[in-house]
Amino acid sequence: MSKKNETNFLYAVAKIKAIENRLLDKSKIERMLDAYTPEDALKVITEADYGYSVSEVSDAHIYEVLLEEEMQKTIKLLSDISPQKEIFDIFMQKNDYHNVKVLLKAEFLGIEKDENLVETGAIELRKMKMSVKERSFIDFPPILRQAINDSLDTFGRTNDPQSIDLILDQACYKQMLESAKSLNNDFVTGLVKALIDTVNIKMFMRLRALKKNWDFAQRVLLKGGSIDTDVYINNLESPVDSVIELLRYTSYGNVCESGIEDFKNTGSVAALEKLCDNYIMGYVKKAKYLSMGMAPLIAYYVAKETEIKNVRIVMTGKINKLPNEQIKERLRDLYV
Amino acid sequence: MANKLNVNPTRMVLTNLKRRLKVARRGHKLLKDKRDELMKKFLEIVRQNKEMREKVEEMLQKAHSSFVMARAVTPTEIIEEALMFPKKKISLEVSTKNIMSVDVPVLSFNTEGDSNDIGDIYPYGFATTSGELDVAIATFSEVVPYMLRLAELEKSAQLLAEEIEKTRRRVNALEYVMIPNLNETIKYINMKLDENERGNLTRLMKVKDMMLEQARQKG
Amino acid sequence: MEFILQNLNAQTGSFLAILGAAFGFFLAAMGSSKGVGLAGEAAAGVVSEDPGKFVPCMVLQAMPSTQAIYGFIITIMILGKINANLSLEHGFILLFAALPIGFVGFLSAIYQGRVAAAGINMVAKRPEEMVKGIILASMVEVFAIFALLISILLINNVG
Repeated sequence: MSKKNETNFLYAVAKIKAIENRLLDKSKIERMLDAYTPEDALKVITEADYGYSVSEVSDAHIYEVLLEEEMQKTIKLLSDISPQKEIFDIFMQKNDYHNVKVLLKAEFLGIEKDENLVETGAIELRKMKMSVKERSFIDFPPILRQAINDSLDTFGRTNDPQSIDLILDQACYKQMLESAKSLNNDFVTGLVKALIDTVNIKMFMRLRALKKNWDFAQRVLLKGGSIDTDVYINNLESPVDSVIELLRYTSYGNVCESGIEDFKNTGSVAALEKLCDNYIMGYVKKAKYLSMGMAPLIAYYVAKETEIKNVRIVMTGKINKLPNEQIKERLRDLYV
Repeated sequence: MANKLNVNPTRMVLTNLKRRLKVARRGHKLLKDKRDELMKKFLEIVRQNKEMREKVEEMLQKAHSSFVMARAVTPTEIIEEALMFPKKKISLEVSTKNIMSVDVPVLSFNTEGDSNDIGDIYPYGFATTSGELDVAIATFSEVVPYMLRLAELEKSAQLLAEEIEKTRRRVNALEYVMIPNLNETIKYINMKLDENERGNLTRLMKVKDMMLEQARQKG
Repeated sequence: MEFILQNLNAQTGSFLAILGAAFGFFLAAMGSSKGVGLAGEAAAGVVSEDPGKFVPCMVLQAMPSTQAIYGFIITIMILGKINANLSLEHGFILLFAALPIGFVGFLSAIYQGRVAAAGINMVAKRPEEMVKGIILASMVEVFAIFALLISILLINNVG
């Protein structure tokens, strides 16, 4: 990326740096944890100006609405200030794939499930609905088009709803990687690769736990990461310790070592999932020290996503009256 | 004599009543046996029920807490999408079984769909969902047969309890109302008959006296 | 043609000196405008979110403008040396004297602008660290000052 291009982002980056101050920091999260009732916890995020529709909070369960609105707000803010809108495609396209999954499944079930759709896709929701209904995907990106055709075909043969998800997930990350590459920015490409790798590691451990065969693993594991899928497939049945050994010298060494160790003791991938999220956060934290280029904007998006995840963890925990230690165990690292 | 039946104190009625008393006694004994047997079965079912309920509750607790955690780390719409289209269908059959003349339900279920892979219950992709959802779904699917068994036991216990109550009411009615009443009535009729007897005797003696008196005056 | 050449010969000294004066200012000022522009964009970003940080942002934004001032000083000094019978040799000296502040000013202003923009980002996070941002930006300034000194020394060669 040329320097000239990089300085295009000066205004946006400076603005984001100022806005970053408003991200929930550790003390705010602590305050939420210390709240006696879910309503009190929710107050912390309404004070942080979450969502659009906050006036008074009567019911803690509206937090879901707030979180969704906050995500929309973030995307709108970022695409408003960014001189290059397509840099957020990598995240918005994820929502397209989600919408396609919902629409296809709803169609096969013969029901309407519009409440599961998300507004913030790269393709406008109304258009998406029309296109799926009429099976005209001319305007869709080729990878998406191909994936929809594949999943229609596979579902027609096997009647297996899982195949829809598997094919579209594969295509989704392929698309994200392609979009990232077209931005020609090392930070973004690296981020998507790290996402693919962490997702693969998580899925790999789950596949092992569920005792799936290599044929299934081949359909599940994502291609294009820095660790080749063959590495996982060849070790699907090897003992846990050798898996740790295998991944120790990749950049995910620390994540795998303690994550898989925990998996060995508890049989749960929760810790690994948390460590993977933290790895991604560690990656985007590099952008904290950059004052130009698109990286800080991307980092802000990831930071917001993680923040929303944390809020959801705390709120779900509070509503279900989980002990604070158990909630804290799941909390992801913060950006600020 | 408050509880006696309103009957004519005749010998025929007495015979009838005696027959009824005999039947009532036998009925009482039979019903009592039935009640005891029912109680035994009931207690057995209740014990099983308790065990089953504890087990189911524990499993549900586990499934629920995994599910809560899965929900906590995954946006709602993704969870909803993941679970939108179930991979397996279950059909439930209800038949009945007879315990001590009580019809209790028997539930059995069949999984439809490809049965060659029983572990294959996850209808979603793995990239967007959390591992804790796997645990939750696995536990939920594991708990289904137990829940059906629990439903069976609970309904049986309920039906048996009703039957026991009915039987006990009958036993009590026989024991504390019917049989005492019959006894009393029989006693009453006996007394009445005895009294008639005595009245007759007195009358006869009186007549005999009067006849003797008349004969002496004539003679 | 003849006339122009002859004329040139007579006036070449002054011509070169004027060329130098123009170079000195226009390069340094171009750098400054670029640098101030960069910092200004960043400043606008921060102020749009947090108007209270206007003053520190403005101070940082203004930092790359000094190069233009140095360029201006050199230009004035060179112009002061120009007279009708400036020799060719002196003309060359003046032209080259303008080059340090011209080129160094140009580049240092742009880089200072970038540092200032980064400083403004820092101020957005920690307003209390403004002074450190200014110090960091001043590091770049040092080279512009060297260039200014060299330019002045060179000019002083001309009697």
